[in-house]
Amino acid sequence: MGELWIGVTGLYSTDNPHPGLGVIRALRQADPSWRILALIPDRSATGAYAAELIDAHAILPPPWSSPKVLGARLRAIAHRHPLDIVIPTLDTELPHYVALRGTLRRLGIRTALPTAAALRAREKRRLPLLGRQAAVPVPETVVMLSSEAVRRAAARLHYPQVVKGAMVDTVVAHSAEDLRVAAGELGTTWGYPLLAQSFVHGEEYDVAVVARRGEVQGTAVMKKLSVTSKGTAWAGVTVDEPGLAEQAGRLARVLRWDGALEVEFIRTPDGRAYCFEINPRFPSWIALAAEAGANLPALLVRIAEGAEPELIRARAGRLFARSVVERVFFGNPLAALDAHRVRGGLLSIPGARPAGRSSRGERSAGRVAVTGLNAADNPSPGLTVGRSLRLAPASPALIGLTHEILATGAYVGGIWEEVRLLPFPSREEGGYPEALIEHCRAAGADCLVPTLDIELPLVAWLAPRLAQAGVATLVPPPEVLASVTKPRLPALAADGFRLPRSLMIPALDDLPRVAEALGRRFVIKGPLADARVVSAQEEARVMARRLAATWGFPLLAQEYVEGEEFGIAAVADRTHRVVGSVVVRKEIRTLNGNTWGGTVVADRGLSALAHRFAETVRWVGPFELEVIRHARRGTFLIEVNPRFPGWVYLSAGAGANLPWAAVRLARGERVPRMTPRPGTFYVRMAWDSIAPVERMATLAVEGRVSGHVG
Amino acid sequence: MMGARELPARVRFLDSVSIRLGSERGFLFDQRSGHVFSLNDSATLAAAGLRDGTPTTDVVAAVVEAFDVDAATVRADLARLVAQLLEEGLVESHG
Repeated sequence: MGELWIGVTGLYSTDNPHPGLGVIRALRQADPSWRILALIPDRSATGAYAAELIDAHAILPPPWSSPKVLGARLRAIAHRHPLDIVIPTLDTELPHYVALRGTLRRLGIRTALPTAAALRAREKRRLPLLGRQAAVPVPETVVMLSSEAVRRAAARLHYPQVVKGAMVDTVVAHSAEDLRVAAGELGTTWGYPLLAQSFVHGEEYDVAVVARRGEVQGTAVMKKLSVTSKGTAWAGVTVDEPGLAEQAGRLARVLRWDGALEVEFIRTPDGRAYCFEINPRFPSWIALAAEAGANLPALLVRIAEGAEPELIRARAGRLFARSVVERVFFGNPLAALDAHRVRGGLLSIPGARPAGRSSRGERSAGRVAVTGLNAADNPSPGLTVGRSLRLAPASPALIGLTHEILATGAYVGGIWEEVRLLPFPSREEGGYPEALIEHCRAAGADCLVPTLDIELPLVAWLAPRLAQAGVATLVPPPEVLASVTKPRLPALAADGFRLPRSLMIPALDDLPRVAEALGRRFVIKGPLADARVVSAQEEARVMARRLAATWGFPLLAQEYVEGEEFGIAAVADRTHRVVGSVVVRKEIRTLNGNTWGGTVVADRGLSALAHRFAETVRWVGPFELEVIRHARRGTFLIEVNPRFPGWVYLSAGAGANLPWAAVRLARGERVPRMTPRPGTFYVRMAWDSIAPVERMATLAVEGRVSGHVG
Repeated sequence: MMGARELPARVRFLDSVSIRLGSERGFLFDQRSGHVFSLNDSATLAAAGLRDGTPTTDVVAAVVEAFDVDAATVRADLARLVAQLLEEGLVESHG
């Protein structure tokens, strides 16, 4: 019998990750001999760079193409390459695969798919009817077919409402104005109809199901422990909740469902569970189900093969914590991929290696403490710094310091010797300074790399006390740190730096004045993080309100500059000399504007900018400059971050390991100037680390947890 | 109101509850609901007693001795803790 080739779609593993990567991980776990063909619309599918999981790649038309175009492409693939089973994982493409059922059968490609009627019956707008048929409660839902319908509905609805695109995406609206703006965003991106669903207060659960002719063959129930602002689960735990599994089973039975299904519930404090969404595919956290003993993707494969497997159910107590991790390559390995061929072995090119691996005279590795372990959708840099240090020529033992037990980077295997729990950073209360020093001392750390904006001023203030305790740091003095905060950044213009025009927004009422000064389109920024481009007054008000809800006023408004974006990561020594800088051209962007991939470029102008910055402001330690190069007006400095960026692992892969340089400089060692390898490419992907819930319990109870995740 | 709560003679954690107790903090995980609970020092000591099948009167005495608080206050606090555990479906009471 030959190899079994399984095609999997849905590999955008970004801030709202598609399920493909989780499906592939589960398939690999079930049978390593199965071969995986990644079916992607383009090279920005970051999960397609998971070298250890994928055997071959092929380009498919984007999900919004017609079934005819998709069918033609699948036919071309199947004629040139084995393709035994296909697992589509995107809501938008499922109708096409269902329509192509006959074509797939003729091509010898097996699937487990619902009928077209079942697919329609679970659509968001039909959920209330389905709920009644299955005796499953559903939140009140209003279908809005046009912008005019949005305007009418906005005036009469009670808030908060959850506004949803017909297929994907969600925004919570707290007022009529909020709803109109949210609907405008969603309508522009996804089209109409949109839905407004009454917001139900409670806890969220997800049930993953595989069914055959309406009968459940396997389930996994997961309670969400943390979600992103878009409601995407970023951490969760499997539970033994037969009630929810039973309700999901009733829905599958009414639908006479075949294949994978995700049923999402909110349970209110009185114990009532509302089904608020049904997705016709696996959820993105499906690797967890496999680890918990219910490998649903493998079950689907066996059903597609015609087997009659036994019922499986995930056991309780397995935790997933999703982190953003980078993969680094010499050049984009998928650059050779085109729409005409299936390409195997593209990811088997050697991975990037750190330079100076055999340097003589390297000091002993020591023990380094790193903060900022929450590597969620907008990740803190602690994990990427830790991964860089693991690549160092003499890798130190790493101590992760976190103030959250669910900091997702704390659950990534192979990085931390131990993780310790700190109080939240606060100078006045909570004992953070004492705890930081005591934890470093107790862990035997001789160096501390802080990575959070919020704690940098504290560490700068504490640096002498840390030094007395034998803990080296490399941070700028407090007054230098204060000079590059967002409100004071425009002052750098006096030193010859080109910055966009910026204005403070002390309150909502100041927005008209700001818009008049900066033009219709401008950027609103939070004082520490977060930024949104706005281009209408109503949108500006809603975004300002959202940002102020998190950060408070004043906010900052910045002129919008169009151009190519770059990030510059660098480290300056105690004489303000930059020992290494890495310039990355930002290439893969999400809808939210976050960067998930880029390439190292040799750009003397931008490197010189980093040198000039460090000398001018008398900087010490790591920093990141964010710049935009306008075609005519030149290079604008739009942001200074007083720590490593969230992508700094790229520096280690490009042969200029900036975190290792920072550690050595902090210890007083001499670091020769480093030059990164141009063309080094990185992508980020959302990766689920899976651990027993006891690891979280140990961190909560003991305040520290040792050993690797397993 | 709190004082009016009855304190059962014995309380038993259900098998579906994972219990991790340290010297100062505790952690409960309900495998059915996925709820996690953090316990402070006195609740941790009380939970340790309940887990070991100690009668609640003896649990009160142990907390009084460890924290130098009067018995009436401890009894009221324990009654409140037990009521919460019952409401969450983490324990069953006897007597």
